Formats: sequence, structure tokens, C-alpha cells
Amino acid sequence: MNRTTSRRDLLIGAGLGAGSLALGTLLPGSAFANAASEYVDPLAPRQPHFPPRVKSVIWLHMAGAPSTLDLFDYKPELIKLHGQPLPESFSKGLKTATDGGVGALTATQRTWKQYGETGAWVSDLLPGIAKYVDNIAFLKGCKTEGSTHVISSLKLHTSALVPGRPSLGAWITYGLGSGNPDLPAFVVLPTGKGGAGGGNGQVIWSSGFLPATYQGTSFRQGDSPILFLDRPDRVAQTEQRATLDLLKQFNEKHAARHPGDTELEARTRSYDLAYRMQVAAPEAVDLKQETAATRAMYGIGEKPTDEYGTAALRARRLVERGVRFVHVISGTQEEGIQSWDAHQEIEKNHSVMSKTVDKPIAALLRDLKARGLLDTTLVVWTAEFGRTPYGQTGDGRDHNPWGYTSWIAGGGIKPGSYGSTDEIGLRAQEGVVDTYDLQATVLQQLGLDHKKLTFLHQGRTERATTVFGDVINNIVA
Amino acid sequence: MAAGVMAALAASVMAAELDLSDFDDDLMRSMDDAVKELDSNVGGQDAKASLANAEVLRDGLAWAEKYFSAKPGAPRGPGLAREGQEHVAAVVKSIEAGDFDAASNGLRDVVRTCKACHEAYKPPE
Repeated sequence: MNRTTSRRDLLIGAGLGAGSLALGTLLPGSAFANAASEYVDPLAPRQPHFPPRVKSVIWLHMAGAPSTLDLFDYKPELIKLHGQPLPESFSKGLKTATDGGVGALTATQRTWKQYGETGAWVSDLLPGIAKYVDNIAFLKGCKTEGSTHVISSLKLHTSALVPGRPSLGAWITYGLGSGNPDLPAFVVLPTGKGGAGGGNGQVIWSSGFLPATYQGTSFRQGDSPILFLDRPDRVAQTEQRATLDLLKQFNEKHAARHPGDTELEARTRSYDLAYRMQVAAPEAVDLKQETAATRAMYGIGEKPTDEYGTAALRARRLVERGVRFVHVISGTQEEGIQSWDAHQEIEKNHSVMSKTVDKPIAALLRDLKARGLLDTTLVVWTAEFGRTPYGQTGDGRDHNPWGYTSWIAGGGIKPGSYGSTDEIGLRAQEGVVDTYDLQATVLQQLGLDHKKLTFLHQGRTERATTVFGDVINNIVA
Repeated sequence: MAAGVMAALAASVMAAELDLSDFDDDLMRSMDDAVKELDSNVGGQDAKASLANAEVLRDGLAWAEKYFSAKPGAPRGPGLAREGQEHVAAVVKSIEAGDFDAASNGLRDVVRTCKACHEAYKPPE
């Protein structure tokens, strides 16, 4: 079949072909199929820009946005001002009615304590995580843009307010390649009924304009996270291999006519990966290989923590096997609650959500530490934004992109508290950290310079953090 | 900490009272494009295109300096615009010297100055 070159083909060939050839000799993460050279495995391990502190990242995405004012950011002043209207002096310059009205200032109802040698404040909602504060760098002056979950989730993960850019996990996979050719390099573990990042879906783990092979692989919830892993009973292994080889020949023939078609290349590679995964993946996700004590430590077998604990333990097993980036999305099976998005009944919501994640995350930190993996893994706890110090509809809090807390633990990270919000926790005030800075810091710990990790797209050299991003040097040991 | 709160509040109060409706938004959009193009061209080590982008930024920041100098209630504006021009000049120097790593680092200073000015004077988010 003869096919003339379309405008799209030409653009793809010019942008991904010649561009990648030029970049491939210069930069990490630039090797993939192109029109002018032989196929280069896009997932082959590549040298970072400088010696890495960690090999992998476990990204704990608290979907729906918790109120860090009720978890980590203790504000005595807010307690004093409880019930009063939001003073104009604090809200000047902010468009405060993000998703509802501006009610009276609402004090936290939690009890608070300082923990560890670092003296970090943690509320009674997170007694498990509180035990590990001396391993954690709290970023208490976080800020972002947007006031809806979709927009701010996109910014957190892709540094853009609209879909189309690659997520951080995709950039990392592009930059470093895979650490284990038998498993996906970038895995997504959704939990809860929403199941896909507070309804934000695939765009937050997309490869965007990077080749499709770098996108996240979403595992299913439950005991069988990967569909169709088992070979059908009546198909012998040799028969299956022969079928795949024939399919590969057809695909390669087709690919030769459409050089630079990364979707096709990704599909071909995914067949091979699927074949290898039949051996490697069941072992990687099989939690029965863990001791009963370990499973219990993660809360597996207990209703509130079973699902999230399963994801957290799988995350540990995956990084142990070289998976670069594991994106765990929080959710719950509790009736009437999907995520941390507590516009109403925040006490009930946060009690449920905290109970869901606290024990598993504490176990994850303990387990990683005990196995020496915390030295080579970054654990990032973050959300699309925080919640307001003022109330909404009586007993909820609204979205707050202006000031909230995230935290990082693991290799090369200096524990302690960095930055702050204002006296009522509305706006980041000192040590302000934007999502670009968080991404730049994660990349640096992996040995990637956010200014040098680039990809040529539509004639422009693109970077993970766009033109922004400063490494948070104060928390890097 | 209290001093920090006061400074932030003072800036916010000023921003709220300022009328910036005569600000040249098209120019700001051109500068936004130019800074992204400059980042790309520095990454691609394209000196000619980088210098052209830097020129757009330099002109824009010079205009902003004049604008804010004539605008009561924006005392930080002229200084930030001047600071931006100095950073752009440093970037230009690095490009002319063929040191694109230094140019890339310098560009972060330009962007930080842009953000500082936006935080002080951009209309409420």
C-alpha cells in the first residue's frame, strides 16, 4: 500500500526524528526511535547529569487536597481568631471565593504535639507518620496556581494548567530510562472509588509530547493489578512467543513506513514488555510473598487501610525492583467519601482519610528504612493544594492554592521544617516553594539537572519545569 | 515573622489600590513568549535567536521601568524592572561569551525578578 507523506508525518519526522538525533548525542533521555537512525531502546538506562542521591521516587498524591492546617501546620493565632470573619489584611490581593463562600475563620479541632528531635508539629490525625518526622523535610510554605482540582493537579504533575505536557514521572523515565526492563518504569497505583486522582484521570500521568512509551502504567486495584497476565491455558509458551514474533514483524514492517510514529513503537514495545511482565510482574505485585507481620504493619487485612496499605506495600516492592516512579493516589472505599476534598464535614472526612493513609505511610517509611531503601528512594507527600483557614458551609474548608504543606523524606534530604505560612495559614510567607521547585528538587536528587533535561517539541526546547523551578537547597543534605 | 507579615500585607494593600488598567498587556504577553523562547534557544545554544529574545525582554523591562516610575503607589516597580534589565544584560554577556550554562542560570534570575514583580503588582489571582 502506497501512502503519501502527510503534513502530520512531516512534522513528526522533523520534530521527533532530526531533533532526537541531534539531542541524542548530547543529553540524557533523548534516545528513542527516529527516522534517521536504527532503533534505540527508549527505556535503556541512561547516565544522569550528576551522581544521583536516589534511584526511585514514591509520589504519595493526596488527591482532593487535605487541610494541612489540620495535619502539620499548627496555628495558635487561628485558634484565637476562631469564629471571626477573615481579616481583610490577610485576604488582600487574593481572589478568595474559589469554590464557595468565605465563612468565618475556623480553628483546627485537633490536638497537637511536637515530635522527634526536629520538633515537628503533627496533629492527632497522623500518629503513625508522627513517629518518623526525624526523617522528613516539611515544606510549610508551599504555593501553587489555580483553584480547581483538575487545573492544580495538572500543574503539580505536569507544570501546566492545561493538558498536554508530560508528567514528572514521564520526564524522569525519559531522563533515566528504566531500572528494570521487565517492569514498567513508571507505575500508577490508584486507590478508592474515584480511582483516578480525584477524577483527574490519565492526564496527570501522561507522557504529553514525550514519546508515548514514557507514560505511566496504571495498575488496577485489588488482588489482580494487571489484567491478563496469565497465559491462556491452551497456549504453549513457544506458541505465544511465535505469535508475538510474527506480530512484531508486521509491526516493524508498518513502522518502517511510518518512521517517528512513537505510538506504534510504544505499542510494539508494550507487547514485549507484557510478555516479560508475565514472569516478573506477578512476583513484583504478589504480597503473599511478604510476611504476615509486614502485611499487618501496612494495615493489610483491616478495612480502613487494606487498599491503601496494599498500594503502599506494592510501591515498596516496585522500587525495590528498580521501578523509577510510583505514583500512589489516595482514595477510600468509605461510603460517601471519595477523597480529601472536604467542603463539608471536614472532621469526618479527615478522620476517614487520615486513618486510610497514616498507618500504611508510616509502615512504608519504616520498611524502606529497615531495608536501607530510604537512602535510595524519595518519598514525596503532596497534594494539588491545601485548604483554607476559613470555613465553608459550616463545617468544611475551601481550596487553598496560596499556602499549604508538603513533605519529602529519603535519600539526601535534610529533615526539619522549611518555610511557613502566615499567622492564620492562608498564604505562604517564608521559604516559598512552588510546584516547579518541588519538581526541580526531585529531579536533582535523581541526578537530573532540570535546566538541562530537555526535549525538542514543535521547534521549542521544552523542560519539565518550563522556565521556572529552583532546587530547594535548604532541604538537600 | 511579624515584619514579614507586615511587608507582605503592605505590598498586597498597595496592589489592591493601584490602578494598572493602562498597563500594556500585549507587551507583557510578548515578554512571556520571549522568556520561553529564550529558555528554549539557550537550551539549543542558538546565540542569534537568544539575543533577539533578550532584546525583547530588555525593551519590555525598560518600558516597565518608565511606566512604574510614573505610577504612584508602586515603589518597588522601577527597582524590579531595573534589576530585570541587569539580569538580562548578564544573560546577553554569557550568550556572547558562548557560555550557555551561565546564560541558563542567569535566565533563572530574570524569571525570579518577573515573579517578584508579579507577586507585588499582578492583579488578584
